[in-house]
Amino acid sequence: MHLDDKTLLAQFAEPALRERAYTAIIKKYQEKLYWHIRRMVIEHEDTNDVLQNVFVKVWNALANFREDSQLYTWLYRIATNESISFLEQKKRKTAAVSLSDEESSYDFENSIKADKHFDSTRLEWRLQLAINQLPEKQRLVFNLRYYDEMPYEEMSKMLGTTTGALKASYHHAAKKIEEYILKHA
Amino acid sequence: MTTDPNIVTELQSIAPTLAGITRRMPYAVPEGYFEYLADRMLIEVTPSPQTGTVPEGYFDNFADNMLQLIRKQNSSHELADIAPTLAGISKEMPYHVPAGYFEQLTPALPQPAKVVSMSSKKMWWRMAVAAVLLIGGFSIWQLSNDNKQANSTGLDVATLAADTVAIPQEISLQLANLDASTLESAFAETEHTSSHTQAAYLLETDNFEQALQSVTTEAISDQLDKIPVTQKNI
Repeated sequence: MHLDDKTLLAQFAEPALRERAYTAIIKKYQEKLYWHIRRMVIEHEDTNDVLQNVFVKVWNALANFREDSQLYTWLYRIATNESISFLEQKKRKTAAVSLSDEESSYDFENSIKADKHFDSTRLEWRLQLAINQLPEKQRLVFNLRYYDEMPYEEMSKMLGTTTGALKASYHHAAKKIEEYILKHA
Repeated sequence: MTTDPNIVTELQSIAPTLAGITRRMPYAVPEGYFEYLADRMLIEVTPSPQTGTVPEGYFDNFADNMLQLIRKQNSSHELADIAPTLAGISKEMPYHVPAGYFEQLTPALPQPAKVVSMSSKKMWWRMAVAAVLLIGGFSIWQLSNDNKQANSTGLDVATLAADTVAIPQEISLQLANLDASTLESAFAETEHTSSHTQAAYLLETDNFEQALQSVTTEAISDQLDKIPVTQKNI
């Protein structure tokens, strides 16, 4: 049973309880953050690197966290920014910098197909291929809404985008995925 | 995972096929990954406690040791970058040294350097020549000095003294043969040749007076009678 965020933050503010609170926060959010990152960067090793960076930043910055937003929104924001930064660095390093989203999705497609469990006959794998055909912003919004079931209001705070724009992004993303799945059925 | 009915309804209205797909992620996570993630992160973010003790004198040569290590690494990396094949070859020398060479090797003591004497025989000879030249030069200079004095004073006086008896007759003869213009030019020449002072000197000397005293008055009068009147007035 996880403690609520308010209790965890209060414990983290106490030097004697800080490490215990930090451990509890990780255990509470590690899987959600892991999968959020994994959907963005695809590969486990990359996800692990990004996740560790996220939790290091949490340790360093949590004392300055303002409670005007929810803790998980704050954590997601860090994870999202870290994932995007990581993808940009990876694109530069592999000289696979692409100007269009279609070209960048080609790298994701290869990463997905390189997974040892990949099975193109299974619908959930085709769904992953479909999601990663999307532009980055649509992909992010779709993942947050579809998998994490994040309310638009929270998403708006996290991404700094209006709820209307987010709804439109989600709508376009869902339509594109549907078309892709039907096309590759 | 519990599904928000609003999200399901929303998705069914947009993409009904998608709404029917299970939301299970097909990706796999290494077994036990989440179990120890919190502990690994705690080790990552917290400074390791100071445990154990530092060996005595560890920091005394620490800087030198680090410099040696860095130099060693730099040199090996440098060659590896420039010529990787060469860097991989053993540095062992293929040459052979005769057996026991180093055991029998005795260090050759350095021979004392030959000292060249500054006081050789040639030096004495040179010094002797220099002394002779110096003495000779000094003698020549002394003689020259003496001659000058003799020329300026004693020589004419001696001649006059030697010829004291003959002077009156000689003078009488010479003066008889000279005319006034010759005497004038002779005096003028004497003055111009810087012997004017010498002539004055001779006139003042006792010897010259003595010589003049030996000249008879008659001889002088005879000579004066031969000089024209105009020249006598001069």
